[in-house]
Amino acid sequence: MTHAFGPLLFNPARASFNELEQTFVGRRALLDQLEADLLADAKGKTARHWQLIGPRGTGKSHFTELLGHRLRERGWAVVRLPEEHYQVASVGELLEQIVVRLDHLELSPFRDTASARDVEEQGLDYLRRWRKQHAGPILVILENLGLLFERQLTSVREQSRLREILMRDAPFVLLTTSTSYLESTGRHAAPFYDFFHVHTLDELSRTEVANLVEARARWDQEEALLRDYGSVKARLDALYHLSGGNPRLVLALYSIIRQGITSELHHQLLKLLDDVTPYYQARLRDITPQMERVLIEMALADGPLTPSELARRCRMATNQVTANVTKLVAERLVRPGSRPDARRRYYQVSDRLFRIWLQMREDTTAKQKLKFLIEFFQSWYRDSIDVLKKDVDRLGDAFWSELRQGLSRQCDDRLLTLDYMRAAVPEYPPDLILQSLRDSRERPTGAAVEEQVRLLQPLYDSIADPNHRLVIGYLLAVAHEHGGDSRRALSLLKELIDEEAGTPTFSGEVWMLYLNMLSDVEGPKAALRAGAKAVTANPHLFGLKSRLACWSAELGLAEDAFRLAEEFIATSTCPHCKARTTAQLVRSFLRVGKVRNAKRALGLATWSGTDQELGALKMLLLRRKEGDQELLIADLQDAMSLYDQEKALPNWLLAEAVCSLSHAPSHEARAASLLKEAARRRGHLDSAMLEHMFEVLIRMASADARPFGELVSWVVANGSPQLIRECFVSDMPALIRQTGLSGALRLYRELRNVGILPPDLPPYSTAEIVEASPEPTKVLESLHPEVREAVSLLLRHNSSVEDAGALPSRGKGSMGDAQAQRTSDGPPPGARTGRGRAARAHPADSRRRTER
Amino acid sequence: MNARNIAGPLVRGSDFWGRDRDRSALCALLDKGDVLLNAPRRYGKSSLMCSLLDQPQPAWTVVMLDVEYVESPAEFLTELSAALVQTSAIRKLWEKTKRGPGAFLSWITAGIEGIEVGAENIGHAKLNLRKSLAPDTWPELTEQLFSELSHHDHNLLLIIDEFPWMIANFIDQNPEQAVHFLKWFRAVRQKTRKRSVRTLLGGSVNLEPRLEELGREALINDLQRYHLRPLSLAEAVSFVREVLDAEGVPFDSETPAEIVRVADCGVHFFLQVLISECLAEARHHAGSKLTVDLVEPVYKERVLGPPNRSRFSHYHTRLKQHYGSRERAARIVLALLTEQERESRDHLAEVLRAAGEDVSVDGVLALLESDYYISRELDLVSFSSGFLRDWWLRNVPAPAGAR
Repeated sequence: MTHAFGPLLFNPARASFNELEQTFVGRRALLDQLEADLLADAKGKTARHWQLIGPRGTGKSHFTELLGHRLRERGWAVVRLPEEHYQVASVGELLEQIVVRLDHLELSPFRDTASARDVEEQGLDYLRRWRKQHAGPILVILENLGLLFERQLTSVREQSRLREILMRDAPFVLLTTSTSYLESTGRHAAPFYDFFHVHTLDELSRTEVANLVEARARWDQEEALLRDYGSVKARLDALYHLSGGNPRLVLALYSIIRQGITSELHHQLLKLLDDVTPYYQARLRDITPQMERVLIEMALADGPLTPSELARRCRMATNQVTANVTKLVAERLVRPGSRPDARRRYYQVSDRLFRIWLQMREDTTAKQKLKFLIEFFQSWYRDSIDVLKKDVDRLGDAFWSELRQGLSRQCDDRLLTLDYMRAAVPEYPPDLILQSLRDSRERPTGAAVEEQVRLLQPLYDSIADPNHRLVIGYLLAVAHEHGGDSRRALSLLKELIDEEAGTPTFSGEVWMLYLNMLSDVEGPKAALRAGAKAVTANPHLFGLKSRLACWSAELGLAEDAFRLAEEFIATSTCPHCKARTTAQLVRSFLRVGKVRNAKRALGLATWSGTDQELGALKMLLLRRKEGDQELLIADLQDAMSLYDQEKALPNWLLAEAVCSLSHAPSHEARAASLLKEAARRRGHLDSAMLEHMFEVLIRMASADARPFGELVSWVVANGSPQLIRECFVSDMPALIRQTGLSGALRLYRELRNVGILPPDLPPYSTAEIVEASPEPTKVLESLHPEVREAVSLLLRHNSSVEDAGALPSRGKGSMGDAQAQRTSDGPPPGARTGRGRAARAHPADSRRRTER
Repeated sequence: MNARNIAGPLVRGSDFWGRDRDRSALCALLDKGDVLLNAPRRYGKSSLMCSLLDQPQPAWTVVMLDVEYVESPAEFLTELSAALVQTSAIRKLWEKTKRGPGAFLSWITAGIEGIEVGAENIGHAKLNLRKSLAPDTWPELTEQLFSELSHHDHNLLLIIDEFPWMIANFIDQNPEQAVHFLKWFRAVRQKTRKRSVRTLLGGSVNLEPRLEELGREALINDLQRYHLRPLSLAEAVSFVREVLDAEGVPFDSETPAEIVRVADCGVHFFLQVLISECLAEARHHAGSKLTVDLVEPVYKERVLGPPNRSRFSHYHTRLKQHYGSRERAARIVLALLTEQERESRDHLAEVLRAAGEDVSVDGVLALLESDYYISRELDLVSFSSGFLRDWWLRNVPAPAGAR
């Protein structure tokens, strides 16, 4: 197996012959040919010297290393000179370096010679003697010939002398590499004009890229990848697109195939770009400012450009641009583009890595979102939205997992990757990141909500990127909401959407959550006002109109509701969103008994007749009369009979069923099952579901004396302790009063025993004292009348208490009256703040929450 | 070993072939006297000279050196002496006469004393010679050198490649000394002409313009000129066929003729570049044949296009560097010849006048012809090769006023 970063750091000089051979792709015919030519030359009198030209990363080192291995096996001596040529300023020193490396000497045998020209002669003698004593020829591999000729051996004399040495009876064969054609070998007057026998290494073709990846995977024994190579092939186009067939980039990106999309992708590419910076800076120094100007414009363009378009962008004459493009083509920095327009010539930067590097350097926005990376993701996920969804979910899961481990930097990287992925697929929901993170299976839920807040808060406080801050703020608000703290959620969301504070957002998800919180805390009118203002100011938020229409309907503003819904439907391009909006509006009208408006709303949809929600609604509407506000259980059962597979029930229908069944005797088991399903879909247990679950539980407790079994454990496992505690305290009195059920005390004991409820919670602890007393009636009578009433309701099943005649008649009085306890036994039931208790008292409101 | 297609680099031994006509002609000239062999780079000039070294005429001893990097007459003397000393016959001659009088023999024998002179010790000998060479003694020593050479039993051919470059180096360093050297060298040639020493001076740059600048063009007037000429088209087809046979890539029987048709010239180098690119294309798709229909696209895309642009760009840049006030006129002429395959001299003169060029059309045409751009047949002027015409059309914009 390769190292952690795979073959990105692949260094051919360190690889074994076997590895070099096994992973060599696309150039085998050329290698065989060159090997054959070298062997043939060695037998004859013609001594050719070679230049291997290929942009950076095209595999020149791999090629020369492999050739060196092959020739060594045939008895050649192979000398590889260091690429930098720091110790070479003359032909004499070049020969000296060859001598030192040929015989692996620690010190130069010519170290006492002062004149470089004398070293020239000594070096030649040494090499000729060596050749006389050894049978095999010498191959000298000199990488980066351009650097040697343009920095070290710059004088004509030195180059002429080297040419003379190489041309006639050379004691060695020289194999050089360069990234492009060189002035020093292309200028007619230059000593090395057309001297070398040139081979070019072009970028790999699509097929060769696939072959390279496969060869690499075989070498790395990536069995899993090879087993599934058929599906991997579909991704190789993306690799080809970004790498442009550059083998080094292909290998760098190969790690993506091995590991999937990870945040390491950025680091690897950024490191690669760092590594090539000195080289590319030098390349820019080698071309004229006008050429550089044209080149940069090409790099920043979205695709190939014509000379006339370039001229416009560069504010230069077309003939000037054409001349510069021609020079850039000769330098292999630019190549004709691939746009299918036969009439005009298009050009683009040929070295993809160079293009990326220029983008990084020149385009400030590209620093944030590298165009190439976005292009890569576009190519990667072309026609594979389902794969994108899976990858997004996987990254969302990884985010939460790393957050738990305190790896905040990695979390930030995940957000960045998600950012690129979202930008790459414009048709995908703009709130992709929010949704994936919110819906992640790894997101702490239930009892871990407090943990979620604890983890997210420091990240929110420290994160610098405003987009990422928005995401983390949103998740934090969701955590607060799930923890039952609407006010904190609202305050945080207000901070996120506050345009005056300089942090405006177009995120519909953030706004939706904000409006819902606002509705909870301040009521739907406030939410409607704020939402209407937002959509007017910011057309991007048109998605909110769907929700605003529902609020308008429920507040009796029918015409506003229709207007908003129609505007949404006219703007949205998503047929599912249009149908869902219609369904929500219908239900909103139904909640307030406006059957005629509901029927009219149903007409807003272009309904294919197969939509489950609309189908069920249509059926229900037939059974409703104007003014009816409650759904009949019979209606629901009919609706459900249409869609009898519970898993396929639309969320709202599931909520309706939960609500109705939890109020109906003898349906506890089915209600509990549906509640679990609803909680699974939402990812957590919210207060509305808890309220229903409490009712189911106390019905069960009232019906028989059997233990609650795993149901209480499930509640504890899936709900926040704080939320369970608050819901129990605030909701239970009303439940007892409305249902007349007597199982609340048993539920209290269960929850107390698992540490959720305190041991001294009135009036439950008081009821236990009364119940345990040998003379409960006496004790009961000694209590404050309001406390006595509350306790009596809890002990309704206790005949001795009931006999005492302390109980109020059912439906009259109220557990709410027990609020008088606040003066004696602490906070009364219902004293919890911030959840809009009054609103939730109605089953329809519970449903609304569950559906959200 | 079969001959191989090697386009550009120096070829020797069995790789040098198909130039018998040039070899014979050159030998015939050398029988008469000294020769200046002038041809653009990559025309096979050095390979031709090497063939005289590798397969010398009977009873001729040949010594060859490349002097492009030589910067002074003294260095030339050292290099020449070191090259000669490797020739066993000459070495024996000098060893036999080393006790004789003369500064040269003292210098040379001291230089090689104790050294078993062979290719692997030549550097050592050069260092010794260099160290013991007193300043300003080169004229005397070199004259004595040539005098010694005239005592040689064999005929001696000295091939001095890139001679014009060396002279250009001398001029750059010290024009007076360069003129002094040329005068002296002409005198030496004239002295040895009737003896058995011949010099073949090769060069890829034209020496005459530099000497004209110095008013000294007469210093090489005694040299016979030999120009390498392209193959006839019929010869070119045979040449291409032989190359393809040797390369072992299957090809259509019409492919050689197609290569010559497309290149439309018989210049070895141009043909070999096209062959090389065609072979590369055929080998890239392993196992495929070099078919007729492959030739023209390869010619257009690769030979005329960017991959080989730098190989031929000197045709374009040379006008700028060497034509001075005649550059624009030359460009106009060449631009017209890309449009019309043949133009009359008079029509070209008219066009130049209309374009405001106050230059002698004959002067411009003579220069272009000597630099291998054009050829003239009576009054008609055309590009020297179809290849060059195509390259010009593809790569060089016409100057304003050319049309």
